[in-house]
Amino acid sequence: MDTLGHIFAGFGVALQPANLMYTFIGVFLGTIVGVLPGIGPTSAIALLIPITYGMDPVSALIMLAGIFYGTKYGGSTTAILIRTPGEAASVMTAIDGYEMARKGRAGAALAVSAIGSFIAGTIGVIGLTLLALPLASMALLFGPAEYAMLMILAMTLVAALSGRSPGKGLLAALLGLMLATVGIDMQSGTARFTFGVPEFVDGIGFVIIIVGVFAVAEVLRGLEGIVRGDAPEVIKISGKLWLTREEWQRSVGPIWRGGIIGFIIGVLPGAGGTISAIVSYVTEKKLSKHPEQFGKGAIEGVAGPEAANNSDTAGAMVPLLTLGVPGGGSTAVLLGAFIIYGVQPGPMLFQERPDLVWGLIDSMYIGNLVLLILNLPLIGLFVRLLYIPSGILFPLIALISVIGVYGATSSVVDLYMLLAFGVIGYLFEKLDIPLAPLVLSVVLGGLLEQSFRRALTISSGSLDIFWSSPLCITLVVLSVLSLAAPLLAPRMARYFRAENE
Amino acid sequence: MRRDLVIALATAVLAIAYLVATWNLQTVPIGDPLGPRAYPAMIGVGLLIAAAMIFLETRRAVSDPADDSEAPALLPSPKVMVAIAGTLVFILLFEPLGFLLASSLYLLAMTTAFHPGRHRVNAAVSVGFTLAAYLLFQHLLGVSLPGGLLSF
Repeated sequence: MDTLGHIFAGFGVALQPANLMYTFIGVFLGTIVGVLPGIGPTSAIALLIPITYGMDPVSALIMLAGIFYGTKYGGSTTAILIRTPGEAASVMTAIDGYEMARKGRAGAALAVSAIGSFIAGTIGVIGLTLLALPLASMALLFGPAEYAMLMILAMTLVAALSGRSPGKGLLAALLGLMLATVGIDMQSGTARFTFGVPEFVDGIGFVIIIVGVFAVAEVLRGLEGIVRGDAPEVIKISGKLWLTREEWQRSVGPIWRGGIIGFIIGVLPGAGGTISAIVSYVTEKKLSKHPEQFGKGAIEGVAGPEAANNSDTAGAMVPLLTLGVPGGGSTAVLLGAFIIYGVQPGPMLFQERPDLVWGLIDSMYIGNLVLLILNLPLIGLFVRLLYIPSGILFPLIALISVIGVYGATSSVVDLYMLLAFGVIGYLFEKLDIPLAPLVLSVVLGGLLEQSFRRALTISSGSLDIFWSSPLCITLVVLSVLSLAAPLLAPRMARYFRAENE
Repeated sequence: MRRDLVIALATAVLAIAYLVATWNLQTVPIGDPLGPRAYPAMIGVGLLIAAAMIFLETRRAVSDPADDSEAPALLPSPKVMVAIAGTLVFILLFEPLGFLLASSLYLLAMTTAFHPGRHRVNAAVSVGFTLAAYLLFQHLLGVSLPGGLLSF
């Protein structure tokens, strides 16, 4: 079957009643997770993986991906109504969206978020559809050495870009790799770093680590917030959930530009939704004829970033599906899910399981449409979630985390580790050590070591193999540069920091 | 910042401990030419580089006047510490008491502490949510939860 045929057949898969239902469940849960400040897409996907063990991998992946892109819709609601990003990528929306809400234009802010998200999300999926095959055929040039270097590049970029300090980013990435080395070595059978604990022999499950450092740590931060007494106030939705003609005209440009910016940044490893939103915000402010309105309720400052962080998710699926290498925390967990289901994403997948790849991609068109409906006419339903007192919400999230982790292995030792990783995640945030590099390398660690050692088996132990092809050399140079550049050029780093704030 | 110096030092100590543990790994003559030690050794060396980078960054921050902001308190407040201890107790009792009993007691304690004064709401949420979660996970989704003293 030709490509076009596969794309259409994918709709056949995505439109099967069961898969439609899982698309709906995924984006519905995604919206809830996005609205609730205490839990993000990375930990939500990780928590759901144990539940999907018995499911058809296509349905399971459609649902988990739905959570991933659905959170971006929900996150804006919280940002607009209580000025707290429900999801990290909505930070920029919290600025002008909240100001609009204070001026009685909450309805317009919510409407432009939903419509902009839908348009940009669809732009992103179209980009994904067009780029997937050309990139996947390029990926066939990759041998184990190139793969190892590509993974290292993804890690160094995330390490350099996700925090203020590349050194701490590198520390986080290496800690993740360290955690991934615990357990039986696949190639020699040696038990490594198990310290006599039987539970460590199979390695530390990445679900435990991710749910710990994200969800449990967030619960601790939330409880801390209650003790300090910062209770956010929810602004009532005022005004119709629609835009005036003038507001719409001001939003169209930012939505299109945001959609394209977000997709491009999404494809690149390391950056992620937050940076897409920031770049879009800065771009719109520069292009605007009235930049002084930004920060005081400019609708462009909501439309652009919201569009950008949605097309970003489709962009982030490109390297995951075509190369099998995720560029950030959430896609890393999705990769973990793929591996658990015995599916290896990458170029071969397009040839072996076109139904899975295109069913998943095509389900994203449908999912975006469902999200538009959920987040426009049905938005009132989700806003109610914001009225759940945090003193109730955070204990519930703690319990859900415990159920999810215990459900995977029925081991109490895993629960102790969960709590320990929660405390670690809490402390890391206080110490400005970013968590995204850790999550990425926890998931990629095993694959990286496999590719690395396979490459050296091919070269019978000579490291020259990592310097043998132009592709490899480029990847090595880029990896070193991504970490060294901020150290060598502090002035440049300061410039970027100034742009980000 | 002094805190970052401590992080750099702790990273270096961790790197050395990890390298020592790597050195002590058994090697077997089967498998690939690289063996199980080389890759962890590289991670250990990488950690030393990270420690050096963090150290260099603290040197630069001293000359950066923009970075004199007060560091946030590292440890959580006493009440949250008690909540962490409470969660530990909950995990200890999770299997002996069983999911239903342990979870509803845990939720009741946590909501009473952090959503005080609303006893009826807290009790209803604690019991209701636990029951609903049990039905959903144990019976609908087939996730096995501990039975303990009370189960159905």
